[in-house]
Amino acid sequence: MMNCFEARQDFVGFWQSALEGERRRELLAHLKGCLKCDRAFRAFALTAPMLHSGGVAKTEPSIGAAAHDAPQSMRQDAPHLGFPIDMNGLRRADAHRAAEILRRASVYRLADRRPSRHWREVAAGLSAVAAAVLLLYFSVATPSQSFDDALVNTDSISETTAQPDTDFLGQQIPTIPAVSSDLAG
Amino acid sequence: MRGVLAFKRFARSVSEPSDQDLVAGALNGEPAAFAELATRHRSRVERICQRFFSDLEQVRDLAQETFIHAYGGLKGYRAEIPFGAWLRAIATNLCYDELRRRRRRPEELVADFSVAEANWVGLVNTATPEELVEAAEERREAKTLADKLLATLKPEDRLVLTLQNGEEMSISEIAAIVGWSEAKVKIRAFRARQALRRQAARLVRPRKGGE
Repeated sequence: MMNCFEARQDFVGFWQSALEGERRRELLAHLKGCLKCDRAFRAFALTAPMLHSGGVAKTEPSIGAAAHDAPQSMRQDAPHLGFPIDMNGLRRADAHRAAEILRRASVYRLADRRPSRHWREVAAGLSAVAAAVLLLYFSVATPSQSFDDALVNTDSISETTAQPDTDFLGQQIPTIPAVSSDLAG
Repeated sequence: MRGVLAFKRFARSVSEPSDQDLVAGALNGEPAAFAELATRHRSRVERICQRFFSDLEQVRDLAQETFIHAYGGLKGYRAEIPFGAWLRAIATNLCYDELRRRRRRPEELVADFSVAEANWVGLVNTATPEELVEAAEERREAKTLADKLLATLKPEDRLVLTLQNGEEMSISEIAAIVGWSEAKVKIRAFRARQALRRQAARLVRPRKGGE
């Protein structure tokens, strides 16, 4: 009878259909009887498509391989290959020139370089300052006439509510008697 | 057939300039040489970025950044390293930086499942082991769900597992690219697998009693 350790060792082989015969039957029997291993196998099944499926075939020798094939003097440099260029020290002029070459060559047609995070931060900062200045202005500066003043001032009301005495042809409009007087009449 | 392919490859190598020739041209100020390098290696670089990000726009941005950084660092490029591998190292480092910038929280995982992925989780909880092996081969969602589990890990864990399993790199290759010691890569890979299994175990319902 297979134990838990042996069973889990065979998960990969079983997943890749490389486990056959008696060993396969033993594993299946173990999974049926052992709740912990059954659960472990199901968790394994969720990760296996990523961890234990065939990956992309290598098409080129890699940096690591190059480092190992190189003579001893070169091999000492291998750790430096990890950072083949200074990732932060890119000159702006070079970056723009490269982006322009890529764009002209239609390698990245739509790829006008996005503004860098630095510029985005600056833009966000300026927007925040502008908003703060506006807020300060409206909270400190008092308008020349408040809304209440406008309501109290009768002149301004009469100006806005005055009725014209003439119609649009310039003729005098006859005064209409009040309804209440007609009814009283 | 093999002979024809070999002949085609030979003919191409004679007619087309090598990567090293193009690098030399780019260093001499020929924009066309660098454009040719970018055209030649674009799909490979994008494929690497796709290992880390599914958003196509993001992938293109990172691939473009890779070429821009490569252009800026061409003077430091050494001919004993294949140019494609050098680009791969740049792309990997840029993707790693991006992963660190926008780390996801594990709690977001379940909310992100598509219907097909949720069905796959349901099947994993109910099917027999043999059925699972067969079903996983046919179901694309098995892979996308595994990728989503991977996306919940720490950037360094994700980096190591992606390079090891996606790009099939050895420990020493990963160490060379990311600038870590081999021991650190090994430990990180071990912990990353453990973390991934823990995440997966959260999706498996415990059963009561054996059959």
